[in-house]
Amino acid sequence: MVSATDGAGGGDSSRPWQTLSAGFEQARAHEDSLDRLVEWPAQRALLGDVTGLAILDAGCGNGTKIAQLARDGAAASGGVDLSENFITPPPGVELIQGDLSDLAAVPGLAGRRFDQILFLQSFGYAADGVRALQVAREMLTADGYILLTRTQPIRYAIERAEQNGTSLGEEYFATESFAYRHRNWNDQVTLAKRPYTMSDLLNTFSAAGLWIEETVEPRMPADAAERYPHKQAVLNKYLGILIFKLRPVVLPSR
Amino acid sequence: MTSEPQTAEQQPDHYDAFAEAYARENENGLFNRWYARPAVLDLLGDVAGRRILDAGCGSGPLVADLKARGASVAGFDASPAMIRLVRERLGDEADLKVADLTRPLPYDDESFDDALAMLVLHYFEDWSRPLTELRRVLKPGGRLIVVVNHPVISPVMYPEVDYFATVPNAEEYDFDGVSATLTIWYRSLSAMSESFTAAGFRIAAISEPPVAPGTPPDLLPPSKTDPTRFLGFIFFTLETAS
Repeated sequence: MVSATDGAGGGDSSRPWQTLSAGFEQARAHEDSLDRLVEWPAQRALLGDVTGLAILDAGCGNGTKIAQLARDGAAASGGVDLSENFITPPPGVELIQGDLSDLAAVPGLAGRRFDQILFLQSFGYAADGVRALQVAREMLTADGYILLTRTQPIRYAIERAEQNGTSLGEEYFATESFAYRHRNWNDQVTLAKRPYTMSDLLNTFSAAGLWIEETVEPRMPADAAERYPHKQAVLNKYLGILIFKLRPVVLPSR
Repeated sequence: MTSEPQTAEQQPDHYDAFAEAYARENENGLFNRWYARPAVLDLLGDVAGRRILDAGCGSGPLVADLKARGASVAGFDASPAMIRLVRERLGDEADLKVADLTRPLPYDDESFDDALAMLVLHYFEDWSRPLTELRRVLKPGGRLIVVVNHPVISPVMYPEVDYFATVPNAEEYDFDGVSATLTIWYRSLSAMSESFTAAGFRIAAISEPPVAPGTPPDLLPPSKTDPTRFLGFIFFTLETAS
Protein backbone atom coordinates (compact mmCIF):
# COMPACT_ATOMS: atom_id res chain seq x y z
CA MET A 1 0.00 0.00 0.00
CA VAL A 2 1.28 3.44 -0.86
CA SER A 3 0.19 6.89 0.14
CA ALA A 4 0.39 10.48 -0.99
CA THR A 5 -0.67 13.82 0.37
CA ASP A 6 -3.04 16.33 -1.16
CA GLY A 7 -3.81 19.49 0.74
CA ALA A 8 -3.69 23.21 1.03
CA GLY A 9 -0.14 22.99 2.33
CA GLY A 10 0.01 19.49 0.90
CA GLY A 11 3.18 18.11 -0.55
CA ASP A 12 3.23 14.94 -2.53
CA SER A 13 5.69 12.15 -2.86
CA SER A 14 5.81 10.87 -6.39
CA ARG A 15 5.60 7.12 -5.73
CA PRO A 16 1.85 6.78 -5.12
CA TRP A 17 0.99 8.73 -8.22
CA GLN A 18 3.25 6.53 -10.32
CA THR A 19 1.15 3.59 -9.14
CA LEU A 20 -2.08 5.51 -9.46
CA SER A 21 -1.58 7.22 -12.79
CA ALA A 22 -2.59 4.35 -15.08
CA GLY A 23 -5.91 3.75 -13.28
CA PHE A 24 -6.52 7.48 -13.06
CA GLU A 25 -6.10 7.97 -16.80
CA GLN A 26 -8.29 4.96 -17.57
CA ALA A 27 -11.06 6.28 -15.30
CA ARG A 28 -10.90 9.71 -16.89
CA ALA A 29 -11.09 8.24 -20.37
CA HIS A 30 -14.39 6.42 -19.66
CA GLU A 31 -17.20 7.85 -21.73
CA ASP A 32 -19.23 8.60 -18.61
CA SER A 33 -16.41 10.21 -16.59
CA LEU A 34 -17.28 13.64 -15.24
CA ASP A 35 -14.01 14.86 -16.72
CA ARG A 36 -15.20 13.99 -20.21
CA LEU A 37 -18.84 14.95 -19.72
CA VAL A 38 -18.53 18.14 -17.68
CA GLU A 39 -15.08 19.32 -16.66
CA TRP A 40 -12.93 19.25 -19.78
CA PRO A 41 -15.62 20.75 -22.06
CA ALA A 42 -16.02 23.64 -19.58
CA GLN A 43 -12.27 24.13 -19.23
CA ARG A 44 -11.77 24.00 -22.98
CA ALA A 45 -14.54 26.56 -23.54
CA LEU A 46 -12.94 28.97 -21.07
CA LEU A 47 -9.54 28.69 -22.75
CA GLY A 48 -11.10 29.82 -26.03
CA ASP A 49 -9.03 30.20 -29.20
CA VAL A 50 -5.55 28.97 -28.30
CA THR A 51 -3.97 29.52 -31.70
CA GLY A 52 -0.34 30.52 -31.28
CA LEU A 53 -0.53 30.60 -27.47
CA ALA A 54 2.13 29.14 -25.20
CA ILE A 55 0.37 26.95 -22.61
CA LEU A 56 1.75 25.10 -19.60
CA ASP A 57 -0.27 22.28 -18.03
CA ALA A 58 0.92 21.96 -14.43
CA GLY A 59 0.08 18.46 -13.24
CA CYS A 60 -0.68 17.30 -16.76
CA GLY A 61 -1.12 13.59 -16.01
CA ASN A 62 -0.21 11.67 -19.14
CA GLY A 63 -0.33 14.87 -21.23
CA THR A 64 -3.52 14.19 -23.19
CA LYS A 65 -5.02 17.64 -22.58
CA ILE A 66 -1.97 19.70 -23.49
CA ALA A 67 -1.61 17.51 -26.60
CA GLN A 68 -5.21 18.32 -27.48
CA LEU A 69 -4.52 22.04 -27.06
CA ALA A 70 -1.48 21.73 -29.32
CA ARG A 71 -3.67 20.08 -31.95
CA ASP A 72 -6.05 23.02 -31.53
CA GLY A 73 -3.22 25.42 -32.44
CA ALA A 74 -1.29 26.11 -29.20
CA ALA A 75 2.40 26.67 -29.83
CA ALA A 76 5.51 25.99 -27.73
CA SER A 77 3.57 24.32 -24.96
CA GLY A 78 4.48 22.01 -22.14
CA GLY A 79 3.20 19.71 -19.47
CA VAL A 80 4.69 18.92 -16.07
CA ASP A 81 3.83 15.92 -13.93
CA LEU A 82 5.44 13.89 -11.19
CA SER A 83 4.55 10.63 -12.83
CA GLU A 84 6.37 9.75 -16.03
CA ASN A 85 3.45 7.99 -17.57
CA PHE A 86 3.42 10.29 -20.60
CA ILE A 87 1.95 9.81 -24.04
CA THR A 88 4.19 10.51 -27.02
CA PRO A 89 3.67 14.25 -27.39
CA PRO A 90 2.83 15.91 -30.70
CA PRO A 91 5.39 18.33 -32.21
CA GLY A 92 5.76 21.52 -30.17
CA VAL A 93 4.75 19.93 -26.86
CA GLU A 94 7.29 19.02 -24.23
CA LEU A 95 6.25 16.72 -21.37
CA ILE A 96 8.58 17.05 -18.41
CA GLN A 97 8.82 15.04 -15.20
CA GLY A 98 8.79 17.56 -12.37
CA ASP A 99 6.99 19.05 -9.38
CA LEU A 100 4.35 21.73 -9.93
CA SER A 101 5.20 23.15 -6.48
CA ASP A 102 7.97 25.21 -8.10
CA LEU A 103 7.49 25.41 -11.84
CA ALA A 104 10.47 27.73 -12.33
CA ALA A 105 12.72 24.96 -10.97
CA VAL A 106 11.42 22.35 -13.42
CA PRO A 107 14.18 21.49 -15.95
CA GLY A 108 13.78 23.57 -19.09
CA LEU A 109 11.17 26.00 -17.71
CA ALA A 110 13.36 28.64 -16.03
CA GLY A 111 12.89 31.98 -17.76
CA ARG A 112 10.01 30.80 -19.98
CA ARG A 113 6.72 32.68 -20.26
CA PHE A 114 3.25 31.27 -20.90
CA ASP A 115 -0.05 32.79 -21.98
CA GLN A 116 -2.05 30.24 -19.99
CA ILE A 117 -0.90 28.12 -17.06
CA LEU A 118 -3.29 25.34 -16.10
CA PHE A 119 -3.74 23.65 -12.73
CA LEU A 120 -6.51 21.22 -13.60
CA GLN A 121 -7.38 19.25 -10.43
CA SER A 122 -3.66 19.30 -9.60
CA PHE A 123 -3.31 22.29 -7.28
CA GLY A 124 -3.80 20.22 -4.10
CA TYR A 125 -0.48 18.51 -4.75
CA ALA A 126 1.53 21.71 -4.41
CA ALA A 127 3.73 21.64 -1.31
CA ASP A 128 2.80 25.29 -0.67
CA GLY A 129 -0.17 26.55 -2.68
CA VAL A 130 0.60 30.26 -2.32
CA ARG A 131 4.23 29.76 -3.35
CA ALA A 132 3.26 27.57 -6.31
CA LEU A 133 0.89 30.26 -7.60
CA GLN A 134 3.38 33.07 -6.99
CA VAL A 135 5.95 31.22 -9.11
CA ALA A 136 3.37 30.53 -11.82
CA ARG A 137 2.23 34.18 -11.81
CA GLU A 138 5.81 35.29 -12.57
CA MET A 139 5.87 32.96 -15.58
CA LEU A 140 2.82 34.58 -17.21
CA THR A 141 3.02 36.84 -20.25
CA ALA A 142 1.65 40.38 -19.86
CA ASP A 143 -1.90 39.30 -20.78
CA GLY A 144 -1.56 35.79 -19.38
CA TYR A 145 -3.75 34.05 -16.85
CA ILE A 146 -3.96 30.94 -14.70
CA LEU A 147 -6.85 28.49 -15.06
CA LEU A 148 -7.24 26.51 -11.85
CA THR A 149 -9.83 23.89 -10.96
CA ARG A 150 -10.58 22.20 -7.65
CA THR A 151 -13.23 19.90 -6.28
CA GLN A 152 -16.00 21.63 -4.33
CA PRO A 153 -14.77 21.31 -0.74
CA ILE A 154 -18.24 20.32 0.47
CA ARG A 155 -17.91 17.06 -1.47
CA TYR A 156 -15.41 15.51 0.92
CA ALA A 157 -17.30 16.84 3.94
CA ILE A 158 -20.52 15.18 2.75
CA GLU A 159 -18.78 11.87 2.15
CA ARG A 160 -17.01 11.87 5.48
CA ALA A 161 -20.04 13.01 7.46
CA GLU A 162 -21.91 10.02 6.01
CA GLN A 163 -19.03 7.64 6.74
CA ASN A 164 -18.27 8.89 10.24
CA GLY A 165 -21.75 9.79 11.48
CA THR A 166 -20.55 13.35 12.10
CA SER A 167 -22.12 16.66 11.18
CA LEU A 168 -21.37 18.38 7.93
CA GLY A 169 -19.93 21.43 9.70
CA GLU A 170 -17.59 19.26 11.76
CA GLU A 171 -16.19 17.63 8.65
CA TYR A 172 -16.15 20.82 6.55
CA PHE A 173 -14.05 22.64 9.13
CA ALA A 174 -11.89 19.64 10.10
CA THR A 175 -8.17 20.23 9.78
CA GLU A 176 -6.76 16.71 10.14
CA SER A 177 -5.71 14.92 6.97
CA PHE A 178 -7.86 11.98 6.04
CA ALA A 179 -7.20 8.78 4.11
CA TYR A 180 -8.89 8.64 0.75
CA ARG A 181 -9.08 5.81 -1.75
CA HIS A 182 -10.57 6.43 -5.15
CA ARG A 183 -12.18 3.16 -6.09
CA ASN A 184 -12.43 4.10 -9.76
CA TRP A 185 -8.70 4.79 -10.02
CA ASN A 186 -6.94 2.18 -7.90
CA ASP A 187 -8.38 1.10 -4.57
CA GLN A 188 -5.00 -0.16 -3.39
CA VAL A 189 -3.56 3.35 -3.26
CA THR A 190 -4.37 5.60 -0.31
CA LEU A 191 -4.12 9.36 -0.76
CA ALA A 192 -3.83 11.47 2.40
CA LYS A 193 -6.02 14.49 1.67
CA ARG A 194 -5.97 17.64 3.72
CA PRO A 195 -9.39 19.22 4.11
CA TYR A 196 -9.95 22.74 2.78
CA THR A 197 -12.82 25.18 2.88
CA MET A 198 -13.94 27.71 0.27
CA SER A 199 -12.12 30.43 2.17
CA ASP A 200 -8.91 28.37 2.40
CA LEU A 201 -8.99 27.97 -1.36
CA LEU A 202 -10.01 31.45 -2.48
CA ASN A 203 -7.81 33.30 0.00
CA THR A 204 -4.81 31.43 -1.46
CA PHE A 205 -5.37 33.35 -4.68
CA SER A 206 -5.25 36.82 -3.10
CA ALA A 207 -2.26 35.77 -1.00
CA ALA A 208 -0.45 34.91 -4.24
CA GLY A 209 -1.31 38.29 -5.82
CA LEU A 210 -4.06 36.98 -8.08
CA TRP A 211 -7.67 38.04 -8.52
CA ILE A 212 -10.60 36.00 -9.75
CA GLU A 213 -11.74 37.25 -13.14
CA GLU A 214 -14.21 34.43 -13.61
CA THR A 215 -15.62 31.53 -11.61
CA VAL A 216 -17.41 28.67 -13.28
CA GLU A 217 -19.21 25.68 -11.77
CA PRO A 218 -19.90 23.53 -14.81
CA ARG A 219 -23.18 21.64 -15.14
CA MET A 220 -23.88 18.52 -17.13
CA PRO A 221 -25.27 19.20 -20.62
CA ALA A 222 -28.94 18.11 -20.80
CA ASP A 223 -28.34 15.29 -23.28
CA ALA A 224 -25.54 13.86 -21.12
CA ALA A 225 -27.72 14.13 -18.00
CA GLU A 226 -30.37 12.09 -19.79
CA ARG A 227 -27.89 9.48 -20.91
CA TYR A 228 -26.04 9.19 -17.60
CA PRO A 229 -28.55 9.92 -14.79
CA HIS A 230 -26.21 8.30 -12.22
CA LYS A 231 -23.61 10.94 -13.03
CA GLN A 232 -26.16 13.74 -12.80
CA ALA A 233 -27.07 12.41 -9.35
CA VAL A 234 -23.40 12.58 -8.31
CA LEU A 235 -23.21 16.18 -9.52
CA ASN A 236 -26.47 17.15 -7.74
CA LYS A 237 -25.14 15.78 -4.48
CA TYR A 238 -21.47 16.75 -4.58
CA LEU A 239 -21.63 19.82 -6.88
CA GLY A 240 -18.61 18.90 -9.00
CA ILE A 241 -15.71 21.28 -9.44
CA LEU A 242 -14.92 24.98 -9.22
CA ILE A 243 -13.04 26.58 -12.13
CA PHE A 244 -11.22 29.88 -11.62
CA LYS A 245 -9.65 32.20 -14.16
CA LEU A 246 -6.99 34.09 -12.21
CA ARG A 247 -5.10 37.20 -13.25
CA PRO A 248 -2.20 38.98 -11.56
CA VAL A 249 -3.20 41.95 -9.43
CA VAL A 250 -1.61 44.99 -11.03
CA LEU A 251 -0.87 47.57 -8.39
CA PRO A 252 -1.33 51.21 -9.39
CA SER A 253 2.02 52.72 -10.37
CA ARG A 254 3.37 55.19 -7.85
CA MET B 1 -23.60 61.15 -11.22
CA THR B 2 -26.00 61.46 -8.32
CA SER B 3 -29.07 59.27 -8.30
CA GLU B 4 -32.57 60.64 -8.25
CA PRO B 5 -33.97 60.40 -4.73
CA GLN B 6 -36.25 57.49 -3.97
CA THR B 7 -39.94 58.14 -3.67
CA ALA B 8 -40.80 54.87 -1.96
CA GLU B 9 -40.43 56.53 1.45
CA GLN B 10 -42.78 54.98 4.00
CA GLN B 11 -44.08 52.24 1.68
CA PRO B 12 -45.07 49.32 3.91
CA ASP B 13 -42.62 46.43 3.77
CA HIS B 14 -42.93 42.69 4.41
CA TYR B 15 -40.65 43.06 7.43
CA ASP B 16 -42.95 45.58 9.13
CA ALA B 17 -45.22 42.74 10.32
CA PHE B 18 -42.53 41.19 12.49
CA ALA B 19 -40.00 44.02 12.89
CA GLU B 20 -40.02 44.08 16.68
CA ALA B 21 -39.76 40.31 17.12
CA TYR B 22 -36.98 40.23 14.51
CA ALA B 23 -35.15 43.00 16.34
CA ARG B 24 -35.43 41.17 19.68
CA GLU B 25 -34.17 37.95 18.10
CA ASN B 26 -31.18 39.69 16.53
CA GLU B 27 -30.35 41.52 19.70
CA ASN B 28 -29.44 38.32 21.52
CA GLY B 29 -29.79 35.37 19.12
CA LEU B 30 -26.94 33.17 17.98
CA PHE B 31 -26.87 34.04 14.29
CA ASN B 32 -26.77 37.81 14.57
CA ARG B 33 -25.49 38.78 18.03
CA TRP B 34 -22.86 36.03 18.33
CA TYR B 35 -21.99 35.19 14.74
CA ALA B 36 -22.64 37.63 11.85
CA ARG B 37 -22.29 40.92 13.70
CA PRO B 38 -19.01 40.22 15.56
CA ALA B 39 -17.56 38.68 12.40
CA VAL B 40 -18.35 41.82 10.37
CA LEU B 41 -16.86 44.06 13.06
CA ASP B 42 -13.77 41.86 13.04
CA LEU B 43 -13.44 42.13 9.25
CA LEU B 44 -13.77 45.91 9.34
CA GLY B 45 -11.06 46.33 11.99
CA ASP B 46 -10.45 49.87 13.21
CA VAL B 47 -13.35 51.98 11.93
CA ALA B 48 -12.69 55.20 13.88
CA GLY B 49 -13.27 58.18 11.59
CA ARG B 50 -14.47 56.05 8.67
CA ARG B 51 -17.69 56.81 6.83
CA ILE B 52 -19.72 53.58 6.64
CA LEU B 53 -23.04 52.67 4.98
CA ASP B 54 -25.12 49.84 6.44
CA ALA B 55 -27.40 48.67 3.61
CA GLY B 56 -30.42 46.85 4.99
CA CYS B 57 -29.61 47.91 8.53
CA GLY B 58 -32.75 46.37 10.08
CA SER B 59 -33.28 47.62 13.61
CA GLY B 60 -29.72 48.97 13.61
CA PRO B 61 -27.60 46.88 15.99
CA LEU B 62 -24.60 47.14 13.67
CA VAL B 63 -25.14 50.88 13.17
CA ALA B 64 -25.01 51.24 16.95
CA ASP B 65 -21.88 49.06 17.27
CA LEU B 66 -20.06 51.03 14.57
CA LYS B 67 -21.02 54.41 16.02
CA ALA B 68 -19.74 53.23 19.41
CA ARG B 69 -16.43 52.42 17.70
CA GLY B 70 -16.08 55.93 16.33
CA ALA B 71 -17.36 55.49 12.77
CA SER B 72 -19.66 57.93 11.02
CA VAL B 73 -22.51 55.64 10.00
CA ALA B 74 -25.45 55.94 7.63
CA GLY B 75 -28.06 53.22 7.50
CA PHE B 76 -31.11 52.42 5.43
CA ASP B 77 -33.74 49.72 5.29
CA ALA B 78 -36.78 49.04 3.12
CA SER B 79 -38.95 48.59 6.22
CA PRO B 80 -40.25 51.83 7.79
CA ALA B 81 -40.95 49.88 11.00
CA MET B 82 -37.29 48.88 11.21
CA ILE B 83 -36.12 52.45 10.68
CA ARG B 84 -38.50 53.61 13.45
CA LEU B 85 -36.84 51.07 15.77
CA VAL B 86 -33.33 52.37 14.94
CA ARG B 87 -34.47 55.95 15.52
CA GLU B 88 -35.84 54.95 18.92
CA ARG B 89 -32.44 53.48 19.71
CA LEU B 90 -30.15 56.13 18.26
CA GLY B 91 -32.19 59.30 18.28
CA ASP B 92 -33.49 61.54 15.49
CA GLU B 93 -30.09 62.95 14.52
CA ALA B 94 -28.83 59.55 13.32
CA ASP B 95 -28.38 59.32 9.53
CA LEU B 96 -31.15 56.84 8.72
CA LYS B 97 -33.41 56.45 5.71
CA VAL B 98 -36.13 54.22 4.33
CA ALA B 99 -34.74 53.11 0.98
CA ASP B 100 -34.87 50.16 -1.36
CA LEU B 101 -31.61 48.50 -2.38
CA THR B 102 -33.05 47.58 -5.78
CA ARG B 103 -33.54 51.27 -6.67
CA PRO B 104 -31.13 54.24 -6.93
CA LEU B 105 -29.82 54.96 -3.44
CA PRO B 106 -30.21 58.42 -1.88
CA TYR B 107 -26.47 58.96 -1.40
CA ASP B 108 -23.82 60.81 -3.41
CA ASP B 109 -21.16 59.10 -5.50
CA GLU B 110 -17.97 58.08 -3.66
CA SER B 111 -19.27 59.12 -0.28
CA PHE B 112 -18.38 56.05 1.86
CA ASP B 113 -15.15 54.33 2.91
CA ASP B 114 -16.95 51.04 3.55
CA ALA B 115 -20.37 49.58 2.87
CA LEU B 116 -22.07 46.59 4.48
CA ALA B 117 -24.72 44.32 3.04
CA MET B 118 -25.30 41.92 5.90
CA LEU B 119 -27.97 39.27 5.29
CA VAL B 120 -29.84 41.38 2.77
CA LEU B 121 -28.69 40.49 -0.77
CA HIS B 122 -30.18 37.00 -0.58
CA TYR B 123 -33.66 38.54 -0.72
CA PHE B 124 -33.00 39.59 -4.32
CA GLU B 125 -32.91 37.54 -7.48
CA ASP B 126 -30.87 40.13 -9.35
CA TRP B 127 -27.82 41.56 -7.61
CA SER B 128 -26.73 43.85 -10.44
CA ARG B 129 -28.60 47.01 -9.35
CA PRO B 130 -27.81 46.65 -5.61
CA LEU B 131 -24.12 46.00 -6.25
CA THR B 132 -23.81 48.74 -8.88
CA GLU B 133 -25.36 51.23 -6.47
CA LEU B 134 -23.12 50.16 -3.59
CA ARG B 135 -20.11 50.42 -5.91
CA ARG B 136 -21.21 53.92 -6.92
CA VAL B 137 -21.41 55.28 -3.39
CA LEU B 138 -18.04 53.80 -2.35
CA LYS B 139 -14.85 55.83 -2.58
CA PRO B 140 -12.02 54.44 -4.76
CA GLY B 141 -10.37 51.63 -2.79
CA GLY B 142 -13.51 51.25 -0.67
CA ARG B 143 -14.60 47.93 0.77
CA LEU B 144 -17.95 46.18 0.64
CA ILE B 145 -18.64 43.42 3.16
CA VAL B 146 -21.29 41.00 1.94
CA VAL B 147 -22.81 38.37 4.24
CA VAL B 148 -25.20 35.80 2.77
CA ASN B 149 -26.26 32.24 3.43
CA HIS B 150 -23.40 29.91 2.58
CA PRO B 151 -23.95 28.64 -0.97
CA VAL B 152 -23.47 24.97 -0.08
CA ILE B 153 -26.33 25.07 2.40
CA SER B 154 -29.09 24.65 -0.16
CA PRO B 155 -28.00 21.28 -1.64
CA VAL B 156 -27.60 19.90 1.87
CA MET B 157 -30.69 21.34 3.56
CA TYR B 158 -32.97 21.67 0.55
CA PRO B 159 -31.96 18.90 -1.89
CA GLU B 160 -34.90 19.83 -4.12
CA VAL B 161 -33.28 23.23 -4.77
CA ASP B 162 -31.04 23.19 -7.86
CA TYR B 163 -27.61 24.37 -6.65
CA PHE B 164 -26.60 25.55 -10.12
CA ALA B 165 -29.66 27.77 -10.61
CA THR B 166 -30.62 31.04 -8.90
CA VAL B 167 -33.90 30.07 -7.32
CA PRO B 168 -36.19 31.29 -4.52
CA ASN B 169 -36.98 29.18 -1.50
CA ALA B 170 -39.70 30.16 1.00
CA GLU B 171 -38.54 29.37 4.53
CA GLU B 172 -40.34 29.50 7.86
CA TYR B 173 -38.48 31.29 10.63
CA ASP B 174 -39.27 31.83 14.27
CA PHE B 175 -38.19 35.24 15.52
CA ASP B 176 -38.54 35.33 19.29
CA GLY B 177 -41.83 33.44 19.17
CA VAL B 178 -43.22 35.15 16.08
CA SER B 179 -43.23 33.06 12.91
CA ALA B 180 -42.46 34.63 9.55
CA THR B 181 -41.89 33.38 6.04
CA LEU B 182 -38.81 34.70 4.30
CA THR B 183 -38.06 34.04 0.65
CA ILE B 184 -34.35 33.46 0.20
CA TRP B 185 -32.80 33.42 -3.26
CA TYR B 186 -30.11 30.73 -3.39
CA ARG B 187 -27.30 30.91 -5.89
CA SER B 188 -23.99 29.20 -6.49
CA LEU B 189 -20.58 30.55 -5.54
CA SER B 190 -19.89 31.20 -9.22
CA ALA B 191 -23.10 33.20 -9.61
CA MET B 192 -22.08 35.37 -6.65
CA SER B 193 -18.56 35.79 -7.98
CA GLU B 194 -19.90 36.72 -11.41
CA SER B 195 -22.16 39.42 -9.91
CA PHE B 196 -19.27 40.91 -7.94
CA THR B 197 -17.00 41.09 -10.99
CA ALA B 198 -19.74 42.53 -13.20
CA ALA B 199 -20.33 45.35 -10.68
CA GLY B 200 -16.62 46.23 -10.51
CA PHE B 201 -15.68 44.42 -7.32
CA ARG B 202 -12.93 41.93 -6.61
CA ILE B 203 -13.02 39.33 -3.85
CA ALA B 204 -10.22 40.33 -1.47
CA ALA B 205 -11.07 37.66 1.10
CA ILE B 206 -13.67 35.08 2.06
CA SER B 207 -14.34 34.22 5.70
CA GLU B 208 -16.16 31.30 7.29
CA PRO B 209 -15.49 32.22 10.91
CA PRO B 210 -16.43 30.55 14.18
CA VAL B 211 -18.92 32.23 16.53
CA ALA B 212 -17.62 34.99 18.80
CA PRO B 213 -15.75 34.11 21.97
CA GLY B 214 -18.12 34.08 24.93
CA THR B 215 -21.13 32.77 22.99
CA PRO B 216 -23.46 31.17 25.56
CA PRO B 217 -22.96 27.38 25.15
CA ASP B 218 -26.70 26.71 25.33
CA LEU B 219 -27.17 28.63 22.06
CA LEU B 220 -24.70 26.44 20.16
CA PRO B 221 -25.68 23.39 18.10
CA PRO B 222 -24.68 19.96 19.43
CA SER B 223 -21.27 18.87 18.20
CA LYS B 224 -18.80 16.15 19.12
CA THR B 225 -15.79 18.22 18.16
CA ASP B 226 -16.26 21.98 17.83
CA PRO B 227 -19.72 23.56 18.22
CA THR B 228 -18.36 27.03 17.46
CA ARG B 229 -18.00 26.25 13.75
CA PHE B 230 -20.92 25.36 11.53
CA LEU B 231 -22.00 26.04 7.98
CA GLY B 232 -24.11 29.17 8.26
CA PHE B 233 -23.14 32.31 6.44
CA ILE B 234 -20.31 33.22 4.09
CA PHE B 235 -18.54 36.57 4.45
CA PHE B 236 -17.01 38.31 1.44
CA THR B 237 -14.67 41.26 1.69
CA LEU B 238 -14.85 42.97 -1.70
CA GLU B 239 -12.64 45.75 -2.97
CA THR B 240 -13.46 48.15 -5.74
CA ALA B 241 -11.49 47.12 -8.82
CA SER B 242 -9.36 49.94 -10.22
